[in-house]
Amino acid sequence: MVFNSVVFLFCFLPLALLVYYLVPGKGKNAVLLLESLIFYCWTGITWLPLIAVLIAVNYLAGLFLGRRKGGGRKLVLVLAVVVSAAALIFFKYTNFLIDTLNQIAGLGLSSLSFLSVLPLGISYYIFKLISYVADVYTRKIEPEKNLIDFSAYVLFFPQLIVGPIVRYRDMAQTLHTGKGRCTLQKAEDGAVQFVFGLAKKVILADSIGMLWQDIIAPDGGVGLANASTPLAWLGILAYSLQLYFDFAGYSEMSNGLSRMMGFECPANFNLPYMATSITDFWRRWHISLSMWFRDYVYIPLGGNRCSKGRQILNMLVVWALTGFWHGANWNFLCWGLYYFVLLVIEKYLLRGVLQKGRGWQRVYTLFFVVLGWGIFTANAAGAPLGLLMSRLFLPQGGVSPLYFLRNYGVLLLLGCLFSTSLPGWLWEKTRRILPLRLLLFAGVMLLSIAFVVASTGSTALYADF
Amino acid sequence: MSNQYVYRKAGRPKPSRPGAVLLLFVIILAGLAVYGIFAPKRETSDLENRRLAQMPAFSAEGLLDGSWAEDFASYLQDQMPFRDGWINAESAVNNLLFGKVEESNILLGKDGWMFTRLFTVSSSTQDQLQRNLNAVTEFASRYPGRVTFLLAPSASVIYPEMLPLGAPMVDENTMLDEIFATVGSAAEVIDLRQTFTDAKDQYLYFKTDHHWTPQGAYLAYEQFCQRKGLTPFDCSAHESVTIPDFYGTHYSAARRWNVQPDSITYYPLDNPMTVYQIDSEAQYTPLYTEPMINTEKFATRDKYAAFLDGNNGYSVIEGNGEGSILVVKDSYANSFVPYLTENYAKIGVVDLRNFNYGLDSTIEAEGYDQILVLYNFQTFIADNRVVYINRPTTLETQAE
Repeated sequence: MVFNSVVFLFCFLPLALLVYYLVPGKGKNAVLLLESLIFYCWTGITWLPLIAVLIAVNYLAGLFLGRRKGGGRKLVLVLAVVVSAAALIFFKYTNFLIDTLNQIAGLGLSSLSFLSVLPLGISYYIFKLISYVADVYTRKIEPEKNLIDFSAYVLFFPQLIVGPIVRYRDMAQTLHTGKGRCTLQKAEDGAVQFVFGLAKKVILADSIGMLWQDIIAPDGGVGLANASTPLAWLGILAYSLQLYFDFAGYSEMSNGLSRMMGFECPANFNLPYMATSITDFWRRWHISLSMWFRDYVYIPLGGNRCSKGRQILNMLVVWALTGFWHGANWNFLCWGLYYFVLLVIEKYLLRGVLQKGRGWQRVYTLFFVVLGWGIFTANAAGAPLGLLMSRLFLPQGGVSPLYFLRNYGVLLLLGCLFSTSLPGWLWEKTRRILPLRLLLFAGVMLLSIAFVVASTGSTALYADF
Repeated sequence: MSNQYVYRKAGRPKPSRPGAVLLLFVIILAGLAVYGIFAPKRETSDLENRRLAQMPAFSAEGLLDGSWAEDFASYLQDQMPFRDGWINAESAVNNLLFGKVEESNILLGKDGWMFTRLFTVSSSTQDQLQRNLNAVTEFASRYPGRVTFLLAPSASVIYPEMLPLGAPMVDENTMLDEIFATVGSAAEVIDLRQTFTDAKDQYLYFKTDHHWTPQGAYLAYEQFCQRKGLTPFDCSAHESVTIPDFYGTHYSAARRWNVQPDSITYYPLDNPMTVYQIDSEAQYTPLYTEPMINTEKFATRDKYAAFLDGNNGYSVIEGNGEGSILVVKDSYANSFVPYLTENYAKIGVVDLRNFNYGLDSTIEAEGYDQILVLYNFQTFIADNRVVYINRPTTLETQAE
């Protein structure tokens, strides 16, 4: 059940909120768990045993790690992490591995058909589980003793499909708050955040994304091979905007829902296309994932407190993993390594240069980020990397961008505008003018609903990762 | 609330009291959710021209494997209160606010024109076209001098200036040249581009539908008569009838806010048409006989379906002329065939999309003199049933 569907907006959400608000105190956690279970099992109960086992293992590991002082802690941590990671690797990468082996060794193994669909949200909840046991191990947090509360954290429906990967330590306090968990202010802020996120997803992302599909779609697209160089650039730019509004919109919907339910979760995006360096970009894009890799891979490996060679090796590991996390395909690995190279160059060569001035750094950052999305989407049918690069960098004729500028021009402009801080600033300015605020809010909400009803309910791009 | 002032620092905007925006959110969300429960449910959507999903029957199995949930989601999506209004609003905002000139694969052209978007011919369609061309050519070469091939060009070929600016439509002209050259080797071909372009100020195509008008069909019919040495149906000797407010398939898809409704002007000829049930190859049982223009359908949304009462697999019309003709066709022929009653005594109509056999046995058994293959360009290049025209008969193989 995606958030941008009629069934979620007008059936699940109103009921879920109503019951959640009505049940007092800590009973809310049981309600939350129940609702999350319904949400999780909406598409079938196939993967319920999987998540149940993973929750049980990590819950018990947490209890053990919390109580024990000395021996065996490391072993239990390693075991818990290995179980979680093994589940992720098995369900996400087995078929890729089989394919690769077949290609290298020509083994002719058949792929496992039951793995053709990724278990719902596995990339996200596995990372939540690992962060939990790791934090208990390092004694940053107390283990969760209540199984219901713990399960509610892991299955938390606002974060189940597309994250963000919010750590237990960021949610524990609210989970243990009975009275005053929800306030009017939080509910209102959450509702606003949810609606604006919805608008980004269904109005901007879905509409702008069609431009890229107009080029690469195997049926109905003009074909990347026929696109002129300006059209190829327009297309990859549109894809970049789509990806941002799709994922940022979904994250905002998630955080908005959390907030309505009393949980303040850290922002997952902070105007990434305004970044002044690649390093800065990764502090603003999918923040919860970057933080996770920093806290649970980079720093445990030694982080910055080791030799230069080791630091570079640590970065290589982090970025190879980041790439692979996005999907079982070589293009994602290449995309991760692309950022590894860029970040190493920035860290050791460009640091001084990048601190002077503001304008050209943004252009430089955007150029490499947009190019990166070209690598990122190279596994899509109709967008092979070699072809894209030749279309982008060898100026050539073909289908002109004229029609696409005519058809998508306003939306592209809006996309650029909403990538800046201006809309947020304007919304803040309306604080004093309530009628205007109400009008804007109602307009955005009704328009988003119109787009939801008229569309066929596309899923979030990041649900596949 | 009185201690609110204590916390207010100078220069910061006064924190607005929460409530109003939240209330609006709740009213819209809950209002639509509750209203949706009681709102009347619809079987079909007239505007979208399709059946709407209904409340799925509950089953424990369906619940556990997720299929019930899926059906339930489409039920709510389809039965959303004010569904038509939401979709109209989306289309209007896309066009007015975002300046979009395309909606659901329909190009919103100038002056109310709408066109089917065709930016590319995929390799699978290319292959299909090749198979279709081979089939028609082979078929025609078995009946030398008896087959006429009429392919109607798309409206966008006749009115390219009405397309949205820079629309990269496929080069239909070149494709038509190739198609006519190929089929022309075996059959008489009728290329309407010059005729239509010369008469482009006439009402040749509907703006809101993918068909040509009865007027466009008449010009095509005139060309056909000229080739065959026939005297065309005399329009001035008949009274025409005009049906207003036709909102066709393009409108159903795009829901253009500033739509200009079409009208259908036709000649109320009431020659009887018998629709047959196809029992087996060349074996037909009459189902019913009715006038070839079913005027009841002019009262529905799908008005064009009045002509020949839609796309039946095999039907025969009694004409006022001499000899017989078999028309193998898509829906473009439906408004064309009525004129043929002037010239032929018997007009057989085959729509291969509802006809599972080759044509040889039917031509022989029913004794058709002439064969007209009539399609529009967009159906002909993609339809995978055109090849049935050349299907070998099963009767002969049984006899041997």
